[in-house]
Amino acid sequence: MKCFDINEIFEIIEKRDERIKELEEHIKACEECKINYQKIREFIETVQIEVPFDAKVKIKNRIFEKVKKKEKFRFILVPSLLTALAVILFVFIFVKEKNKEDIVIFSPGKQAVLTPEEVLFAFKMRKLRNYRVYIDDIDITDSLKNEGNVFYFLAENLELDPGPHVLTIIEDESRIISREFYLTSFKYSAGY
Amino acid sequence: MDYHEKEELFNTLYEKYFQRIWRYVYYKTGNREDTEDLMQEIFIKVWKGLDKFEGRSSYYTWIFRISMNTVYSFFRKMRFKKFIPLEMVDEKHFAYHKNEKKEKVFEKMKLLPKELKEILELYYISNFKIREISEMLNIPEGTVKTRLKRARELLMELLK
Repeated sequence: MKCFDINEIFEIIEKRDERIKELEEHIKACEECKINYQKIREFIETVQIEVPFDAKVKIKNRIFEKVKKKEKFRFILVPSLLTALAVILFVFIFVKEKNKEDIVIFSPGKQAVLTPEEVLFAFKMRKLRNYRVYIDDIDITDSLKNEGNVFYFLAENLELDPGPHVLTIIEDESRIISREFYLTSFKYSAGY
Repeated sequence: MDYHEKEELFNTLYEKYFQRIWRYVYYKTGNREDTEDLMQEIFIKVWKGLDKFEGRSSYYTWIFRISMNTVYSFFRKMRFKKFIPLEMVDEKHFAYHKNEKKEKVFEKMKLLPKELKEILELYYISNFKIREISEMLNIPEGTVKTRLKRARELLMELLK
């Protein structure tokens, strides 16, 4: 009778194949197939790992304990944190809006030291009405150029003497913002 | 998916795959305590991932990948704790199966080439079907069958 190969024996045992009788008959006379058959049966029995009866429930309880704690955190703490964050954000924006200057002078900076060629005034004005802009006593309002709400003035044609000067913005003849700057005599002393 | 739908789906998956995953994890760690901790970690990851699961693979493929990665991380942590090279960190370093027969068989399985050992573990330890293993490892069913046959033959040689 033909011998059974390893994989055939595996399949006969695993699938409870009807050839099992044929195999059992064969191993009575074939030592090699008998050893293979025993080893395979032993292997299949050995690899069975039993799950302890209480493990499934015990682990599930542990999982849901953790999950529920996290859900609680999500449902209580997260909304609270979000509310707190919204309040902080609102206060921050509101306060910032309140404190926002109607006029922000970009240039020149306080006590800036400039050469006549560098002199360029730029300032941003919001909601400003009836304003006049002066350098010292010279009214430069009509010479201002603007891009959006940023106003600027190129001072190259303004014959300013070296020394301290003042940029003044007057709104409604009442609100006054002024900024000092210093003009050097660099142009002259450096021998241009 | 609301909380109750999620809980219902989780319970179904837990019932369906708990045993297979347990067998795989226990085979890898060799002791109940680590297996319980890892099972908890794996199924918490499953819970967290359910909302994001896009169905690009079947649930068992997804859960089994989570299990493999979690077990791998566990052994990697062990390596740092015990200063053992990763390839040497396996169940031998734990209070392994008290059963000597089991120990002998599992030791022999460890000696097989990786691609054969993997098939044997999934088929015999975790009881996955050929089709499921094919999907899980992303290889044709024919290749799984060929490797399984080769793995059985080699293992029997080693067990003689």
